[in-house]
Amino acid sequence: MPTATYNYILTANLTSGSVNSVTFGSGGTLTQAYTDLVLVVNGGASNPADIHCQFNGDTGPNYTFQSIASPGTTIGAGYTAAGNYNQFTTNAYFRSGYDNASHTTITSYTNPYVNKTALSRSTHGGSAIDLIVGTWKNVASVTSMTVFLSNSATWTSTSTMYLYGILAA
Amino acid sequence: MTRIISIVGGMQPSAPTIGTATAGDTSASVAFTASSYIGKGTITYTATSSPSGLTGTSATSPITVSGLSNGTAYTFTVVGNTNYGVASVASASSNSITPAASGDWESIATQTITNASATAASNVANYISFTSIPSTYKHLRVQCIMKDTWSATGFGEAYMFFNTVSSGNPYATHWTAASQTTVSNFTLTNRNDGIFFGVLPRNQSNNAFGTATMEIYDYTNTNKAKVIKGVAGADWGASASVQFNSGMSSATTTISSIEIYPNGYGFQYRSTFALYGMKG
Repeated sequence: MPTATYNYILTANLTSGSVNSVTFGSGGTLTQAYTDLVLVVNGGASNPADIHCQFNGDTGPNYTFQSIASPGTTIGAGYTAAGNYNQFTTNAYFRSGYDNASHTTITSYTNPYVNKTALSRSTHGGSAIDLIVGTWKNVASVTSMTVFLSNSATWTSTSTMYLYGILAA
Repeated sequence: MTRIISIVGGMQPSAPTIGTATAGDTSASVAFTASSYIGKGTITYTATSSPSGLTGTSATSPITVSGLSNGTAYTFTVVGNTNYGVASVASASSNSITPAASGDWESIATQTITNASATAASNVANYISFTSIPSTYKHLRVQCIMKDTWSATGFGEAYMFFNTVSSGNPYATHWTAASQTTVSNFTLTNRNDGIFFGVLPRNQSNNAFGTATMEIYDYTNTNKAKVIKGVAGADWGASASVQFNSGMSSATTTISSIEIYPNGYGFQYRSTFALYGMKG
């Protein structure tokens, strides 16, 4: 029998306009009930910025990310082998005054045998798109997730994050 | 005479036999086999959840238990109660279920490579298939976590067949990919060997699996070729790749099965493939 899936978990409304980071599952309380997580970010930044993410508070050089990006009429790619964070958008196109959106799937986030992988697609005001695969070189379950902006940017007051859980049969 | 009836009515039913519990939206359906009972009167059955102690009652199987929390795992026991107030011993605990909200996207099945020896260059021909796919959805989605047993460096791809078709040259593949700072395109047309997709790391001494999300549109529409698109990526320690994937089968037959193979030796132990249906 098919199983209902793709369940809404929570929304983070960044209404104060002076927030740099949002933590899901503060203190390691992120639900472990799903197979995959989906994070949808819709909004802007006070100045051009990338969206970064750290799992379980790990600030060490344990993240990699491979991107392909198409700003304007060009296309490019980049790779970071030992970053201090996962990267959901690239090239600092996430900025104020534009409609930015990012859709990230964190697959098998509780699977104790695989490194944790996030696959993210983003669009930036109609002027750029990118696709990034980010890996946290750790097999631990993701029990908290902090999403923040680079360049000390803050989220615009209409920015919103939605977290969903996908449950496989 | 009144006294005899009282004794018969006071007999204890045997414990019900627990059946399968099935998840719903904030509810569960708990099947059971009725107690043996030679006494007088009727038996009502009560299913009780663990945790939370939520209950549902019915004279027949199955019992619906409502008020559960979506996302929480539950098991259930069933007790029979006569109308004389005599309760049976509780059944054994049911299988664990996790209620989830009904929605437009449902999980159909998951296939996991369970051959524990498929962890090295063992040449184990592991592949997976989804069969008897319901035709009740509009689109399909396949979510893959995969790795090859081949001990070579680098990565390959997976490839997908529909309905086991491998003749008539129906398949086409295209992707745009990036690895390090290099961007590349790849195209195959008029092929019998399926639609190639995804990033499939070969067997390295790490826990790097590739991930791919592929969506198949209008899979029951017999007037259309079957088009798929998706995204995929992996980091296997030495390098990484990320891809936009597209593909097509010119066959218009409703897709009732999907077969996925590695372009290498075999899918490694714990590779997992989940199939979802999207309503429309």
